[in-house]
Amino acid sequence: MIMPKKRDLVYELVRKNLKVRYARPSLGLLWTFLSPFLLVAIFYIVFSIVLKVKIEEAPFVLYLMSAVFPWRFFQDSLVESTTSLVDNKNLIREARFPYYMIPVSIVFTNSIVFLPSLIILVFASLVILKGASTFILMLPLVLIIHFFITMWLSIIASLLYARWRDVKYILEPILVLLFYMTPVFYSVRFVKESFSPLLFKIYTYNPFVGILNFYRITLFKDARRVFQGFFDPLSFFVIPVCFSVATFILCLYIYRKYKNRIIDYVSY
Amino acid sequence: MNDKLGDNLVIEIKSIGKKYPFKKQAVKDFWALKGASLDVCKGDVVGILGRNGAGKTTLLNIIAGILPPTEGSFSVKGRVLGLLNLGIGFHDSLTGRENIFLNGTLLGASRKELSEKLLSIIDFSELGSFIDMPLGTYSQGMRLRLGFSIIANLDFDILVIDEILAVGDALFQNKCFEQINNFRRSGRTLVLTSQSMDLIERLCSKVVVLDHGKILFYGNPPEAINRYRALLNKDRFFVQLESEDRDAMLIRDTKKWADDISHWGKKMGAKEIVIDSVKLIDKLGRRYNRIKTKDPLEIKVGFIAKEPVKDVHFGIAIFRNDGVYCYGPNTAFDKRPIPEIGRGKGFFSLRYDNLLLAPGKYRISVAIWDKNETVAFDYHNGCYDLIVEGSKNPQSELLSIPFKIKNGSLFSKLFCLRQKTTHVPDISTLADKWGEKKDDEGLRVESVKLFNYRNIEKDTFLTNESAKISIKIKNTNLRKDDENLLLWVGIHRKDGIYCQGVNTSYTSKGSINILFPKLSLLPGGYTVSIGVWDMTQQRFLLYRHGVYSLQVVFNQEDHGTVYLSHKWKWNFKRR
Repeated sequence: MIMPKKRDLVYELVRKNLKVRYARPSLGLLWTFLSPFLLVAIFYIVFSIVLKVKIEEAPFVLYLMSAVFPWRFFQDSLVESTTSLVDNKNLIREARFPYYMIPVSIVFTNSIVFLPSLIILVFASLVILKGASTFILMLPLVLIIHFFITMWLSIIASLLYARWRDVKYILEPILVLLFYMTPVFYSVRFVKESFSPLLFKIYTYNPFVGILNFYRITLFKDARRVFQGFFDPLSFFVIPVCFSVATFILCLYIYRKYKNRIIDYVSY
Repeated sequence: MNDKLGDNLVIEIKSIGKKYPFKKQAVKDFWALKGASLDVCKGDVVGILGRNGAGKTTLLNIIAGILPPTEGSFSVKGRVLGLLNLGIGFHDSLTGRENIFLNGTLLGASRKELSEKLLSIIDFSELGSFIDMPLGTYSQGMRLRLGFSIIANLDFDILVIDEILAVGDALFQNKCFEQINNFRRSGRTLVLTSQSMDLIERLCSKVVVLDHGKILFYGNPPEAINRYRALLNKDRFFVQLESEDRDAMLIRDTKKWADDISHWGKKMGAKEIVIDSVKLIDKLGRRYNRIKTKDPLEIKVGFIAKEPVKDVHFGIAIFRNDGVYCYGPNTAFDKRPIPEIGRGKGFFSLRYDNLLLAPGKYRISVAIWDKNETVAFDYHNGCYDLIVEGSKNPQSELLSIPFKIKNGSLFSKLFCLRQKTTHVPDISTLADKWGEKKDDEGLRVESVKLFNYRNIEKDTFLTNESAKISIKIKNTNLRKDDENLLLWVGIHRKDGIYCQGVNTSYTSKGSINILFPKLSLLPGGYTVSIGVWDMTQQRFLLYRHGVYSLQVVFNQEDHGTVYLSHKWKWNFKRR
């Protein structure tokens, strides 16, 4: 699907991004592990030790890791991509290449950074839970869905930001809201019990609820058991896929619409 | 890519335009390019000339496929390489080698192609082992070398270059120039801009002249460069002469400067006709190049036609020694058709009835042109000296147009006649006061007005119309009119060239009128300044410098600053 030249361009851009990020710090690529773990440690202290949140799916550390790592991939990609077209306006004004390659390369970069921590997560869950989930083979599927949703949203955000510079400031609170609307540090059962059935229904339409729970089902042995009875496992899959298709169509529409004007938008 | 294009045509542009839609801003929708059409054949080297902001880069960007045009269509055949900057995407933390790949892929090459050419790129850049150092350690010259080496080794059919030859030292420029010559020899199509007309002339086979987003001219380099020079001279003064649609029949501006005084003394031309003698003749019929102000002058030019030629016109231009264009009539402007010239000797002459130039040194150009002023048969550019003699001209005025002074009262009129104003105010004290006003507590400017011959107040005059400047300065302090006060009225060209000054004794009684029976200024913008000069204190008590504007229009095309009434005469063998 991707032309060889475009593939090469993404390859070079990703290589540049990685090198620029990790060549100078003395710990280098180690930061790709360290920074997510520091975040998990903070969440653990706040929610488990101070607030004493209880989770039944898995040990709390694993539960946090399974959400924080994918969430970080999503949030970092989106935030970095948003300003990427404007930040790289010199490239856009001087060379002829598809503009969307810039946010795409950022999403690829972040997914490469995400991979090592995901591998650690898989091993940690294997060791701590003493066994794998039967759904572990579905992990690539959830990764692909997550990746594409992130990519389409990143491209949309970068295009919209080029047009309306307010997007960056609107996106910040939206991401915070989305973070709390997503079961990162609490259980879905908790939401089910405190919300009315209608509100809960609406809550489950958040595609990230599905994605994070999908991650958990594939990673944690016997996690599926927890959702039985009140949460249709199929919706983990169907809602994110529908969302992905919808964002893809929106992305295509916005790109077509803005393609010829982007150079004007970023220039002044 | 596109089968509609002919075999040789590689770029075809049809009336494209690029609009920058500004909203809620000072400038409303701005068209950087409008209705531009251009055909480029394979192997052409096309130069684009234009002032800053004329739309050169916009046009290049569109050809390079970076900028989509707002309207019109264009098709390009082959692989285009847009070189709007050297080292696009270069990043300081990457090594030279890594930057080659990043830059190359951004320019549209594949990694495979770059790997194949890596060695020759590194070789060409002369960076040696530095190629594996981060770019941050490179000097500016090394970056440029690396950037250019990548371009030089990539495959393309059309290369679009924007001003890159303006960077780097002479050695680097030479190398670029050589490489571009190589491209040219290998039959690749180049489109480039440069501010160096010399470079454009050396490199290009065709030249586009752009002005305000429109293509003024597309054709052979020498003519394009002439057009561009003329444009530069015109634009120096009238950046915003937009009202051309109004009174389209009237000429609103003329050429005010020589194209390039460094070319003075050169003789150019196709030499079908050769000018063999140029004589300046004074009022007594003597051959003499020192002429008194307001005296007649005849310029007689002898020529030999080696071939019979059609559609000829003659031109003679006078410049001041610093390049200020005084007057340059030709037989085309004067609508005097010249019959076909047969082989043999002949002459033409131009007689000025009154040489209204202020004393000083001048230069004369003589030319025999073809019909469209595209080809000079023979052109002696600024080859002849003319010295205009007369009273001292310490302020270097340009002109000496006849005028009369009428002071308000009969008494002061008589008084004025008695007093010769040999004293001249030193206007260099006003040099940096352009557009400023200063008042004296005792004196107050009541009115400064311009009238035409019907006593109608106006500020736009036709060349050779009569004009009256009427000045009223009140003496509120009831100070006695001082014999030591002079009224100075100066006319400047809009670009600051001092045309003429008039000095008279100051009186507060009534108005002072300065009458030019024939204001023989050529079209353009002028200003009127006034001042009251105290001879004892050697300073201006009051001035309005360059404050009152005066427009001159004309219904006949001409070059220069002043219209000199003249007559053409010629004699040669007809066919």
